[in-house]
Amino acid sequence: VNTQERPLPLRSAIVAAVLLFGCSAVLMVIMGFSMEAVPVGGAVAEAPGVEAVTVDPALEQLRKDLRALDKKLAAQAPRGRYIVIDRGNNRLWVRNGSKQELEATVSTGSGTILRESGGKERTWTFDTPPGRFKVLSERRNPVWVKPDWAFLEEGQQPPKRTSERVEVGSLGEWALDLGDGYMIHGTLYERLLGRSITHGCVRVGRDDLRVVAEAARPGTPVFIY
Amino acid sequence: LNPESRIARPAVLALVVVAVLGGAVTLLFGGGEPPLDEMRLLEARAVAQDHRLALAKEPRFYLFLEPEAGTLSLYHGAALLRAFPVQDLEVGHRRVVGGATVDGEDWRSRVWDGPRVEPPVHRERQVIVSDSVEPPDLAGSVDWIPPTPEEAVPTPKRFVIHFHGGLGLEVTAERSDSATVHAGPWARMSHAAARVLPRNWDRYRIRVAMDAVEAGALYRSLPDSVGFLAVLPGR
Repeated sequence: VNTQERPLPLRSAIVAAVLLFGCSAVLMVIMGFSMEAVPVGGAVAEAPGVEAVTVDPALEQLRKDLRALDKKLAAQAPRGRYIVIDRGNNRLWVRNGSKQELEATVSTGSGTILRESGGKERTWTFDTPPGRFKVLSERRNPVWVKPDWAFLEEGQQPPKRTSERVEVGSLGEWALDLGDGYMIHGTLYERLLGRSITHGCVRVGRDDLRVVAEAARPGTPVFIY
Repeated sequence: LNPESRIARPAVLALVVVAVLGGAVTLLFGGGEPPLDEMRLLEARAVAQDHRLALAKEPRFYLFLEPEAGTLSLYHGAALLRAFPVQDLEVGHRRVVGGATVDGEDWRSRVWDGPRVEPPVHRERQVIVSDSVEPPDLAGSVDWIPPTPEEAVPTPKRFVIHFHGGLGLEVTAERSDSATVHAGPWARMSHAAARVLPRNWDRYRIRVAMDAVEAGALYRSLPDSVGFLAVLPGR
Protein backbone atom coordinates (compact mmCIF):
# COMPACT_ATOMS: atom_id res chain seq x y z
CA VAL A 1 0.00 0.00 0.00
CA ASN A 2 1.36 3.37 -0.96
CA THR A 3 1.00 5.60 2.10
CA GLN A 4 1.61 8.74 0.00
CA GLU A 5 -1.72 8.24 -1.84
CA ARG A 6 -3.92 7.66 1.20
CA PRO A 7 -4.82 11.27 2.09
CA LEU A 8 -6.04 12.06 -1.43
CA PRO A 9 -9.73 11.04 -0.97
CA LEU A 10 -9.86 12.97 2.29
CA ARG A 11 -8.29 16.03 0.69
CA SER A 12 -10.69 15.81 -2.22
CA ALA A 13 -13.61 15.66 0.17
CA ILE A 14 -12.34 18.72 2.07
CA VAL A 15 -11.76 20.65 -1.14
CA ALA A 16 -15.25 19.71 -2.38
CA ALA A 17 -16.80 20.80 0.93
CA VAL A 18 -14.95 24.13 0.90
CA LEU A 19 -15.95 24.75 -2.72
CA LEU A 20 -19.58 23.90 -1.94
CA PHE A 21 -19.56 26.19 1.08
CA GLY A 22 -17.91 28.99 -0.90
CA CYS A 23 -20.36 28.69 -3.78
CA SER A 24 -23.30 28.69 -1.35
CA ALA A 25 -21.95 31.82 0.35
CA VAL A 26 -21.54 33.58 -3.01
CA LEU A 27 -25.06 32.52 -4.07
CA MET A 28 -26.48 33.84 -0.78
CA VAL A 29 -24.78 37.22 -1.38
CA ILE A 30 -25.82 37.46 -5.02
CA MET A 31 -29.38 36.17 -4.60
CA GLY A 32 -30.21 37.59 -1.19
CA PHE A 33 -32.33 40.68 -0.65
CA SER A 34 -31.22 44.24 -1.19
CA MET A 35 -32.75 45.91 1.84
CA GLU A 36 -33.17 49.50 3.01
CA ALA A 37 -34.13 50.65 6.48
CA VAL A 38 -37.40 52.54 6.88
CA PRO A 39 -37.76 54.96 9.80
CA VAL A 40 -40.35 53.80 12.32
CA GLY A 41 -42.51 55.94 14.59
CA GLY A 42 -42.84 59.28 12.84
CA ALA A 43 -39.16 59.61 11.97
CA VAL A 44 -39.77 60.15 8.27
CA ALA A 45 -37.90 63.34 7.48
CA GLU A 46 -39.16 66.18 5.38
CA ALA A 47 -37.07 66.91 2.33
CA PRO A 48 -34.81 69.95 2.63
CA GLY A 49 -36.58 73.03 1.37
CA VAL A 50 -40.13 71.82 1.90
CA GLU A 51 -40.44 73.87 5.10
CA ALA A 52 -39.08 76.94 3.37
CA VAL A 53 -41.77 77.00 0.70
CA THR A 54 -44.66 79.06 2.02
CA VAL A 55 -47.48 77.29 0.26
CA ASP A 56 -47.06 74.42 -2.12
CA PRO A 57 -50.49 74.12 -3.78
CA ALA A 58 -49.96 70.49 -4.75
CA LEU A 59 -48.95 69.57 -1.22
CA GLU A 60 -51.88 71.48 0.26
CA GLN A 61 -54.29 69.72 -2.10
CA LEU A 62 -52.82 66.37 -1.14
CA ARG A 63 -53.22 67.13 2.56
CA LYS A 64 -56.83 68.15 1.94
CA ASP A 65 -57.55 64.97 -0.02
CA LEU A 66 -55.98 62.89 2.69
CA ARG A 67 -58.09 64.53 5.41
CA ALA A 68 -61.21 63.75 3.37
CA LEU A 69 -60.11 60.12 2.97
CA ASP A 70 -59.37 59.82 6.71
CA LYS A 71 -62.83 61.15 7.46
CA LYS A 72 -64.51 58.69 5.09
CA LEU A 73 -62.58 55.82 6.62
CA ALA A 74 -63.45 56.87 10.17
CA ALA A 75 -67.12 56.87 9.18
CA GLN A 76 -66.83 53.19 8.23
CA ALA A 77 -65.40 52.13 11.62
CA PRO A 78 -67.73 50.68 14.27
CA ARG A 79 -69.48 53.38 16.27
CA GLY A 80 -69.32 53.02 20.02
CA ARG A 81 -68.21 49.85 21.75
CA TYR A 82 -67.23 46.61 20.11
CA ILE A 83 -65.79 43.33 21.35
CA VAL A 84 -62.67 41.68 19.91
CA ILE A 85 -61.78 38.04 20.63
CA ASP A 86 -58.38 36.52 19.79
CA ARG A 87 -58.72 32.72 19.63
CA GLY A 88 -55.02 32.05 19.17
CA ASN A 89 -54.08 33.76 22.41
CA ASN A 90 -57.38 33.47 24.33
CA ARG A 91 -57.84 37.21 24.84
CA LEU A 92 -60.88 39.46 24.77
CA TRP A 93 -60.94 43.23 24.44
CA VAL A 94 -63.73 45.73 24.76
CA ARG A 95 -62.89 48.69 22.54
CA ASN A 96 -64.63 52.03 22.24
CA GLY A 97 -63.39 53.75 19.11
CA SER A 98 -59.62 53.98 19.52
CA LYS A 99 -59.81 53.39 23.29
CA GLN A 100 -59.34 50.00 24.91
CA GLU A 101 -61.68 49.63 27.89
CA LEU A 102 -61.00 46.04 28.92
CA GLU A 103 -58.47 43.30 28.25
CA ALA A 104 -59.44 39.89 29.62
CA THR A 105 -58.06 36.38 29.55
CA VAL A 106 -60.72 33.99 28.25
CA SER A 107 -61.11 30.45 26.98
CA THR A 108 -62.12 29.58 23.42
CA GLY A 109 -62.78 26.42 21.41
CA SER A 110 -60.60 23.37 21.99
CA GLY A 111 -60.63 22.23 18.36
CA THR A 112 -61.60 18.75 19.53
CA ILE A 113 -63.60 16.60 17.13
CA LEU A 114 -66.40 14.45 18.61
CA ARG A 115 -67.72 11.54 16.54
CA GLU A 116 -70.97 9.83 17.44
CA SER A 117 -70.66 6.09 17.05
CA GLY A 118 -74.01 4.61 16.09
CA GLY A 119 -77.21 6.63 16.08
CA LYS A 120 -77.04 9.43 13.50
CA GLU A 121 -73.22 9.22 13.33
CA ARG A 122 -72.91 12.96 13.70
CA THR A 123 -69.63 14.84 14.03
CA TRP A 124 -68.99 18.04 15.97
CA THR A 125 -65.88 20.24 15.79
CA PHE A 126 -65.44 22.40 18.85
CA ASP A 127 -64.02 25.53 17.23
CA THR A 128 -64.87 29.14 17.97
CA PRO A 129 -65.78 30.49 14.52
CA PRO A 130 -63.91 33.54 13.15
CA GLY A 131 -65.61 36.55 11.59
CA ARG A 132 -67.92 39.40 12.45
CA PHE A 133 -70.89 38.72 14.73
CA LYS A 134 -73.16 40.84 16.88
CA VAL A 135 -74.70 40.41 20.28
CA LEU A 136 -78.22 39.16 19.61
CA SER A 137 -79.39 39.11 23.22
CA GLU A 138 -78.13 39.25 26.80
CA ARG A 139 -79.41 36.95 29.51
CA ARG A 140 -78.86 37.35 33.25
CA ASN A 141 -78.34 34.10 35.24
CA PRO A 142 -78.72 31.97 32.12
CA VAL A 143 -79.81 28.36 32.19
CA TRP A 144 -78.05 25.95 29.86
CA VAL A 145 -80.13 23.48 27.93
CA LYS A 146 -77.47 20.89 27.20
CA PRO A 147 -77.27 19.79 23.56
CA ASP A 148 -76.72 16.17 22.49
CA TRP A 149 -72.93 16.49 22.27
CA ALA A 150 -72.71 17.48 25.94
CA PHE A 151 -74.04 14.01 26.85
CA LEU A 152 -72.22 12.04 24.16
CA GLU A 153 -68.81 13.43 25.12
CA GLU A 154 -69.42 12.14 28.64
CA GLY A 155 -70.35 8.69 27.45
CA GLN A 156 -74.07 9.18 28.10
CA GLN A 157 -77.10 8.94 25.87
CA PRO A 158 -78.92 12.27 25.33
CA PRO A 159 -82.24 12.31 27.21
CA LYS A 160 -85.47 12.89 25.32
CA ARG A 161 -87.06 15.21 27.86
CA THR A 162 -85.85 18.85 27.86
CA SER A 163 -86.21 19.02 31.63
CA GLU A 164 -83.40 16.48 31.92
CA ARG A 165 -81.09 18.71 29.87
CA VAL A 166 -81.36 21.82 32.00
CA GLU A 167 -78.27 22.88 33.94
CA VAL A 168 -78.26 25.91 36.24
CA GLY A 169 -75.17 27.97 37.09
CA SER A 170 -72.61 26.54 34.68
CA LEU A 171 -72.81 29.57 32.33
CA GLY A 172 -72.12 32.10 35.09
CA GLU A 173 -73.99 35.36 35.65
CA TRP A 174 -74.40 36.43 32.03
CA ALA A 175 -74.71 34.93 28.56
CA LEU A 176 -74.38 37.05 25.42
CA ASP A 177 -75.90 35.19 22.50
CA LEU A 178 -73.96 35.42 19.19
CA GLY A 179 -76.20 33.05 17.20
CA ASP A 180 -75.92 29.40 16.10
CA GLY A 181 -75.52 28.30 19.72
CA TYR A 182 -72.34 30.34 20.29
CA MET A 183 -72.21 32.56 23.37
CA ILE A 184 -69.94 34.67 25.52
CA HIS A 185 -70.63 33.46 29.05
CA GLY A 186 -69.14 32.79 32.48
CA THR A 187 -67.49 29.66 33.81
CA LEU A 188 -67.16 27.49 36.88
CA TYR A 189 -63.54 26.76 35.94
CA GLU A 190 -61.76 30.10 36.20
CA ARG A 191 -58.40 28.42 36.76
CA LEU A 192 -58.57 27.13 33.18
CA LEU A 193 -59.03 30.59 31.66
CA GLY A 194 -56.39 31.28 29.01
CA ARG A 195 -56.57 27.73 27.67
CA SER A 196 -58.48 26.45 24.67
CA ILE A 197 -61.01 24.15 26.27
CA THR A 198 -64.52 25.17 25.26
CA HIS A 199 -66.98 23.69 22.78
CA GLY A 200 -66.92 26.90 20.72
CA CYS A 201 -68.31 29.43 23.20
CA VAL A 202 -66.13 32.09 24.80
CA ARG A 203 -65.78 31.69 28.56
CA VAL A 204 -64.99 34.79 30.61
CA GLY A 205 -64.11 35.18 34.30
CA ARG A 206 -66.81 36.59 36.61
CA ASP A 207 -65.43 40.11 37.11
CA ASP A 208 -64.52 40.62 33.45
CA LEU A 209 -67.90 39.21 32.38
CA ARG A 210 -69.66 41.88 34.40
CA VAL A 211 -67.73 44.58 32.49
CA VAL A 212 -68.45 42.92 29.15
CA ALA A 213 -72.17 42.56 29.94
CA GLU A 214 -72.32 46.19 31.07
CA ALA A 215 -70.58 47.38 27.89
CA ALA A 216 -72.57 45.27 25.42
CA ARG A 217 -76.04 45.85 24.08
CA PRO A 218 -78.03 43.91 21.48
CA GLY A 219 -76.34 44.84 18.21
CA THR A 220 -72.85 45.36 19.68
CA PRO A 221 -70.34 44.11 17.06
CA VAL A 222 -68.16 41.15 18.03
CA PHE A 223 -65.04 40.37 15.97
CA ILE A 224 -63.46 36.95 16.38
CA TYR A 225 -60.12 36.06 14.78
CA LEU B 1 2.62 20.55 -2.52
CA ASN B 2 0.07 18.16 -3.90
CA PRO B 3 -0.96 19.15 -7.46
CA GLU B 4 -4.64 18.94 -6.48
CA SER B 5 -4.28 21.40 -3.59
CA ARG B 6 -2.28 23.74 -5.87
CA ILE B 7 -5.33 24.03 -8.09
CA ALA B 8 -7.87 24.14 -5.27
CA ARG B 9 -6.21 26.81 -3.14
CA PRO B 10 -6.48 29.71 -5.63
CA ALA B 11 -10.08 28.72 -6.40
CA VAL B 12 -11.04 28.77 -2.73
CA LEU B 13 -9.22 32.05 -2.20
CA ALA B 14 -11.00 33.57 -5.18
CA LEU B 15 -14.38 32.49 -3.82
CA VAL B 16 -13.64 33.91 -0.39
CA VAL B 17 -12.53 37.23 -1.92
CA VAL B 18 -15.70 37.40 -4.05
CA ALA B 19 -17.88 36.65 -1.02
CA VAL B 20 -16.14 39.28 1.15
CA LEU B 21 -16.24 41.90 -1.62
CA GLY B 22 -19.91 41.15 -2.26
CA GLY B 23 -20.71 41.64 1.42
CA ALA B 24 -18.70 44.86 1.57
CA VAL B 25 -20.43 46.30 -1.51
CA THR B 26 -23.81 45.42 -0.02
CA LEU B 27 -22.92 47.11 3.26
CA LEU B 28 -21.53 50.20 1.55
CA PHE B 29 -24.22 50.75 -1.05
CA GLY B 30 -27.24 48.97 0.43
CA GLY B 31 -28.45 51.87 2.57
CA GLY B 32 -27.84 55.57 2.91
CA GLU B 33 -30.75 56.70 0.76
CA PRO B 34 -31.87 60.32 1.11
CA PRO B 35 -34.80 60.96 3.46
CA LEU B 36 -38.32 60.68 2.12
CA ASP B 37 -40.02 63.93 1.29
CA GLU B 38 -43.45 64.78 2.60
CA MET B 39 -45.06 64.72 -0.82
CA ARG B 40 -44.11 61.09 -1.44
CA LEU B 41 -45.24 60.12 2.04
CA LEU B 42 -48.63 61.81 1.63
CA GLU B 43 -49.08 60.23 -1.79
CA ALA B 44 -48.35 56.79 -0.36
CA ARG B 45 -50.78 57.41 2.50
CA ALA B 46 -53.48 58.55 0.10
CA VAL B 47 -53.10 55.39 -1.99
CA ALA B 48 -53.22 53.24 1.15
CA GLN B 49 -56.32 55.04 2.47
CA ASP B 50 -58.03 54.48 -0.88
CA HIS B 51 -57.35 50.76 -0.59
CA ARG B 52 -58.52 50.76 3.04
CA LEU B 53 -61.79 52.40 2.06
CA ALA B 54 -62.42 49.52 -0.34
CA LEU B 55 -61.34 46.97 2.29
CA ALA B 56 -63.62 48.57 4.88
CA LYS B 57 -66.64 47.48 2.87
CA GLU B 58 -65.52 43.84 2.77
CA PRO B 59 -65.92 41.35 5.64
CA ARG B 60 -62.27 40.36 5.65
CA PHE B 61 -59.15 40.54 7.77
CA TYR B 62 -56.06 42.43 6.74
CA LEU B 63 -52.76 43.60 8.22
CA PHE B 64 -51.86 47.26 7.81
CA LEU B 65 -48.25 48.35 8.20
CA GLU B 66 -47.89 52.01 9.07
CA PRO B 67 -44.23 52.99 9.67
CA GLU B 68 -45.16 56.50 10.85
CA ALA B 69 -47.32 55.07 13.62
CA GLY B 70 -44.79 52.29 14.27
CA THR B 71 -47.47 49.61 14.09
CA LEU B 72 -48.54 46.54 12.19
CA SER B 73 -52.28 46.43 12.84
CA LEU B 74 -54.88 43.76 12.28
CA TYR B 75 -58.20 45.02 10.93
CA HIS B 76 -61.52 43.48 10.01
CA GLY B 77 -63.14 45.85 7.53
CA ALA B 78 -62.69 49.23 9.21
CA ALA B 79 -62.49 47.87 12.76
CA LEU B 80 -59.12 47.86 14.47
CA LEU B 81 -58.63 44.52 16.22
CA ARG B 82 -55.06 44.74 17.48
CA ALA B 83 -51.99 46.89 16.89
CA PHE B 84 -48.56 45.26 17.15
CA PRO B 85 -45.75 47.74 17.90
CA VAL B 86 -42.90 47.58 15.38
CA GLN B 87 -39.32 48.18 16.51
CA ASP B 88 -37.45 48.10 13.21
CA LEU B 89 -38.44 47.94 9.59
CA GLU B 90 -36.60 47.16 6.37
CA VAL B 91 -37.95 46.82 2.86
CA GLY B 92 -36.30 45.53 -0.25
CA HIS B 93 -36.28 43.31 -3.24
CA ARG B 94 -34.35 40.25 -4.25
CA ARG B 95 -31.06 40.79 -6.03
CA VAL B 96 -30.65 39.01 -9.32
CA VAL B 97 -27.47 37.78 -10.91
CA GLY B 98 -25.62 40.58 -12.64
CA GLY B 99 -26.73 43.26 -10.19
CA ALA B 100 -30.00 44.15 -11.93
CA THR B 101 -32.92 44.85 -9.61
CA VAL B 102 -36.65 44.36 -9.82
CA ASP B 103 -37.82 47.32 -7.75
CA GLY B 104 -39.77 48.96 -10.52
CA GLU B 105 -43.36 47.91 -9.86
CA ASP B 106 -46.03 49.34 -7.59
CA TRP B 107 -45.53 46.54 -5.08
CA ARG B 108 -45.23 48.98 -2.20
CA SER B 109 -48.80 50.21 -2.53
CA ARG B 110 -50.90 47.20 -3.47
CA VAL B 111 -53.08 44.88 -1.42
CA TRP B 112 -51.51 41.43 -1.06
CA ASP B 113 -53.54 38.24 -0.70
CA GLY B 114 -53.11 34.49 -0.46
CA PRO B 115 -50.98 34.21 2.68
CA ARG B 116 -48.89 31.16 3.57
CA VAL B 117 -47.06 31.18 6.88
CA GLU B 118 -43.62 29.61 7.17
CA PRO B 119 -43.13 27.74 9.47
CA PRO B 120 -46.81 26.79 9.46
CA VAL B 121 -48.79 27.05 12.68
CA HIS B 122 -49.52 23.54 13.81
CA ARG B 123 -52.31 22.77 16.27
CA GLU B 124 -53.19 19.24 17.25
CA ARG B 125 -56.82 18.17 17.27
CA GLN B 126 -58.05 15.52 19.63
CA VAL B 127 -60.63 13.13 18.17
CA ILE B 128 -63.15 11.54 20.53
CA VAL B 129 -65.50 8.72 19.57
CA SER B 130 -68.58 8.79 21.75
CA ASP B 131 -68.76 5.09 22.68
CA SER B 132 -65.15 5.07 23.85
CA VAL B 133 -65.72 7.77 26.47
CA GLU B 134 -65.85 6.87 30.13
CA PRO B 135 -68.59 8.50 32.26
CA PRO B 136 -67.32 11.60 34.08
CA ASP B 137 -65.56 11.38 37.40
CA LEU B 138 -68.15 12.74 39.82
CA ALA B 139 -65.44 13.65 42.32
CA GLY B 140 -64.52 16.41 39.85
CA SER B 141 -60.84 15.64 39.53
CA VAL B 142 -59.18 16.93 36.38
CA ASP B 143 -56.39 14.66 35.20
CA TRP B 144 -55.34 16.68 32.13
CA ILE B 145 -54.95 20.42 31.81
CA PRO B 146 -54.59 21.64 28.23
CA PRO B 147 -51.53 23.73 27.34
CA THR B 148 -51.50 27.51 27.24
CA PRO B 149 -51.34 29.09 23.77
CA GLU B 150 -47.62 29.77 24.26
CA GLU B 151 -47.00 26.12 25.17
CA ALA B 152 -49.16 24.77 22.35
CA VAL B 153 -47.68 27.05 19.67
CA PRO B 154 -44.22 28.35 20.70
CA THR B 155 -42.96 31.58 19.16
CA PRO B 156 -40.44 31.00 16.37
CA LYS B 157 -37.42 33.32 16.22
CA ARG B 158 -38.48 34.30 12.74
CA PHE B 159 -41.48 33.61 10.55
CA VAL B 160 -42.46 34.73 7.08
CA ILE B 161 -45.91 35.31 5.64
CA HIS B 162 -45.54 34.67 1.92
CA PHE B 163 -48.22 36.41 -0.13
CA HIS B 164 -49.33 35.34 -3.57
CA GLY B 165 -47.48 37.41 -6.16
CA GLY B 166 -44.09 37.49 -4.47
CA LEU B 167 -44.10 39.44 -1.22
CA GLY B 168 -42.66 37.98 1.96
CA LEU B 169 -43.49 39.71 5.24
CA GLU B 170 -40.74 38.55 7.58
CA VAL B 171 -41.31 38.98 11.30
CA THR B 172 -38.37 38.70 13.66
CA ALA B 173 -39.02 38.16 17.35
CA GLU B 174 -36.76 40.33 19.46
CA ARG B 175 -35.94 38.62 22.72
CA SER B 176 -37.39 40.11 25.87
CA ASP B 177 -37.11 38.91 29.47
CA SER B 178 -40.55 37.35 29.57
CA ALA B 179 -40.42 35.65 26.19
CA THR B 180 -39.15 32.30 25.06
CA VAL B 181 -37.92 32.30 21.50
CA HIS B 182 -37.14 29.03 19.80
CA ALA B 183 -34.16 29.13 17.45
CA GLY B 184 -31.63 26.35 17.63
CA PRO B 185 -28.63 26.13 15.29
CA TRP B 186 -30.54 23.85 12.93
CA ALA B 187 -33.47 26.30 12.77
CA ARG B 188 -31.07 29.15 11.91
CA MET B 189 -29.47 27.10 9.13
CA SER B 190 -32.81 26.03 7.70
CA HIS B 191 -34.05 29.65 7.75
CA ALA B 192 -30.93 30.72 5.85
CA ALA B 193 -31.39 27.92 3.33
CA ALA B 194 -35.08 28.75 2.95
CA ARG B 195 -34.14 32.14 1.55
CA VAL B 196 -32.73 30.62 -1.61
CA LEU B 197 -35.19 27.76 -2.03
CA PRO B 198 -37.50 28.19 -5.04
CA ARG B 199 -40.71 27.77 -2.98
CA ASN B 200 -39.73 30.81 -0.92
CA TRP B 201 -38.53 32.82 -3.89
CA ASP B 202 -40.23 36.07 -2.91
CA ARG B 203 -39.38 39.01 -5.09
CA TYR B 204 -40.05 41.58 -2.38
CA ARG B 205 -39.34 41.41 1.28
CA ILE B 206 -40.52 43.47 4.25
CA ARG B 207 -38.68 42.74 7.47
CA VAL B 208 -40.35 43.73 10.69
CA ALA B 209 -38.76 43.35 14.10
CA MET B 210 -41.04 43.30 17.12
CA ASP B 211 -41.00 42.21 20.73
CA ALA B 212 -41.10 38.42 21.05
CA VAL B 213 -44.36 38.49 23.02
CA GLU B 214 -46.05 40.55 20.29
CA ALA B 215 -44.51 38.45 17.51
CA GLY B 216 -45.76 35.27 19.18
CA ALA B 217 -49.25 36.72 19.60
CA LEU B 218 -49.32 37.65 15.91
CA TYR B 219 -48.03 34.24 14.83
CA ARG B 220 -50.65 32.35 16.87
CA SER B 221 -53.59 34.47 15.79
CA LEU B 222 -53.08 35.10 12.08
CA PRO B 223 -56.39 34.62 10.25
CA ASP B 224 -56.18 32.11 7.39
CA SER B 225 -56.97 34.53 4.60
CA VAL B 226 -55.40 37.69 6.00
CA GLY B 227 -54.47 40.37 3.45
CA PHE B 228 -51.66 42.90 3.69
CA LEU B 229 -51.27 46.57 2.91
CA ALA B 230 -48.55 49.09 3.79
CA VAL B 231 -47.71 52.77 3.60
CA LEU B 232 -44.30 52.55 1.94
CA PRO B 233 -43.29 55.54 -0.14
CA GLY B 234 -41.04 54.71 -3.07
CA ARG B 235 -37.76 56.46 -3.75
